[in-house]
Amino acid sequence: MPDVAVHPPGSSDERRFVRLIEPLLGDAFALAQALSADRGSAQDAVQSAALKAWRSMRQLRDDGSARSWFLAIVVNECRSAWRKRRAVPADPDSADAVISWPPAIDQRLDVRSAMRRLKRDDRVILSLRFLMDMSVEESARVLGISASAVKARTARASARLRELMALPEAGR
Amino acid sequence: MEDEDVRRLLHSTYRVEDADPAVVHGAFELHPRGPRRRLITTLVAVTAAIVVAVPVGAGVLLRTGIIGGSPQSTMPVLDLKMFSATDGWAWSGGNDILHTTSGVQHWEIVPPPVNPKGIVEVAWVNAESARILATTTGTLNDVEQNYMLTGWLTDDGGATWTEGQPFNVLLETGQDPSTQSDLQFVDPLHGWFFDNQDGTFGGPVLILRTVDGGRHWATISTTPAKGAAPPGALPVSCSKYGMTFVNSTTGWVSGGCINAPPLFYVTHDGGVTWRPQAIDCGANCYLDPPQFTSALDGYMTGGLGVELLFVTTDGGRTWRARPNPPATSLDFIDSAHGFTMGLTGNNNPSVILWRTGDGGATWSQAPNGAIHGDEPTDTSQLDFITPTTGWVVSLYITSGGGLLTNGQTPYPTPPPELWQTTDAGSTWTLITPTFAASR
Repeated sequence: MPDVAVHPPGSSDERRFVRLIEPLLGDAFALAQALSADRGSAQDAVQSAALKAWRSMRQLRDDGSARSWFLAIVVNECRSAWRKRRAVPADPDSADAVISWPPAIDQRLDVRSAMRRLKRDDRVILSLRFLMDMSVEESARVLGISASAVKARTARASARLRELMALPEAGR
Repeated sequence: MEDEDVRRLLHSTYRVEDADPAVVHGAFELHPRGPRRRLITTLVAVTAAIVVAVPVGAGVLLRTGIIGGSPQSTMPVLDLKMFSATDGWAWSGGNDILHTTSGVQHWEIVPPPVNPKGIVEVAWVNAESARILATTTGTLNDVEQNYMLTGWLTDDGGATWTEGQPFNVLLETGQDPSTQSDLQFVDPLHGWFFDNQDGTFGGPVLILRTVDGGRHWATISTTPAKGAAPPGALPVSCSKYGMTFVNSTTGWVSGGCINAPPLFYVTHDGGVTWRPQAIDCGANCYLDPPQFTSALDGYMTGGLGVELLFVTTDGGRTWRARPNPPATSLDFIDSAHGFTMGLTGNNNPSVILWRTGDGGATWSQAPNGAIHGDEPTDTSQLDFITPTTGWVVSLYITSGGGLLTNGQTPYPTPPPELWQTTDAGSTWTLITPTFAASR
């Protein structure tokens, strides 16, 4: 394997990576978990995203955009994993059948189950808006869609999640 | 359930259970970063035009024992450069240089006697000639000191190596010479070492040249980290991403500037004096170093929110913008044929080989070539020799990379993989090379 010593730490790119990207790994892992079938897939997605960010640091022109830039890479990595691992999660896009949920023993399991049954785009938008706490505008930039589309998708995804978790609709 | 409840549920579900991943320091440095310029000489273009692919591994006898006694022995085959279907070079990433005369299936390990130094730069000149630079690895972890490089050269496929005279590189910022530096030879005699420290705005630049194959090096241009640059030197401002020469006298340095057009300087005296060359690319556009497939034909990638491609057919005097390519890290083999690994787009974002037969005017996806699973990725290194035959070194596989840790155990580290296509990317074959010690 390559000798680590020939590429030692300390370059400005590495310092920039450590300063801008490393603090986001926790966010990235949470986001990847919400979008992945299992913990291992989430680890893979974050790792792959981190590598791509490392390789592309110079393309990040504005340090202030580091979070949305890196989390967009994470979303793309999760999307990539979806296509490469067709069997897991099990057919999320066609899981429109009404599911009779067992009584909630562990709310987190319920949330995970419900999220996995959401359509992929719904999972992404909910994760960005409510797990990453991104604004409508920031989510729009990450996804490359309009702010109005973000709002519409958010409302639809929230309604779907409520439906899956058999919880009251918003405002009731 | 209000939106705040959704937020609370998601946070309580996905933010509490696992330790945040952390970087395994040093691991990222093992992975090449950014487009890596390769040496493409006139010889390459001629070779690419006439070579006929042969099946790899056909009837080859290793001259010595196989490392580890098994063809499954792994050694990274990085910086692959094939000059034909049979002849080429690669670097293990450490101090082992790999040479083949029988195809990518079989490599002879031809290490230059650099120990205890470590190889920091490689340049493949032709099928038999290679140039490397090495330095004392221990000093690379220090700061604020001189760095001494020593060149080694071979013109017989690594059977024998000649040591050059040591020379010093930049010390102004005390950073290592292996970052964003570059070694290039346009022929066995003429070469340059572009030392711009960290490649960022405000970094000093040294350009060193050799005219005797790397036996001796001389500094021919210096740009300080701050203040005024000497007349004819590269500017202090802007980031410099790299340097490319098309022949012994003409070359370019490219990069990016903040709120200004890209840095694009040309020299016609071998790198001693430089002047800006106009190119139609807006403010904040950046340019990668150009690559040439012949004395006249070259291409250059860049970015301005999207990927950009410029081509020249007059030796770099003029550059024309082409439609946006589908991905980065292009590999052209001549003025018409080029390749890149990118996504298919639409709703099926599979990694796939894209190719052009008209100099980048149009790109098409390889037929039946959608790649799934642990196969070549969009971060692979490409090396094509004909419009149908090429290789990729898959530098990262989705199952891990040893880069992050959960605080206890690093994620798994798959080795780089070498893949071959002989049908322009429609199908790929995983190559498991064997390695033989040098004679």
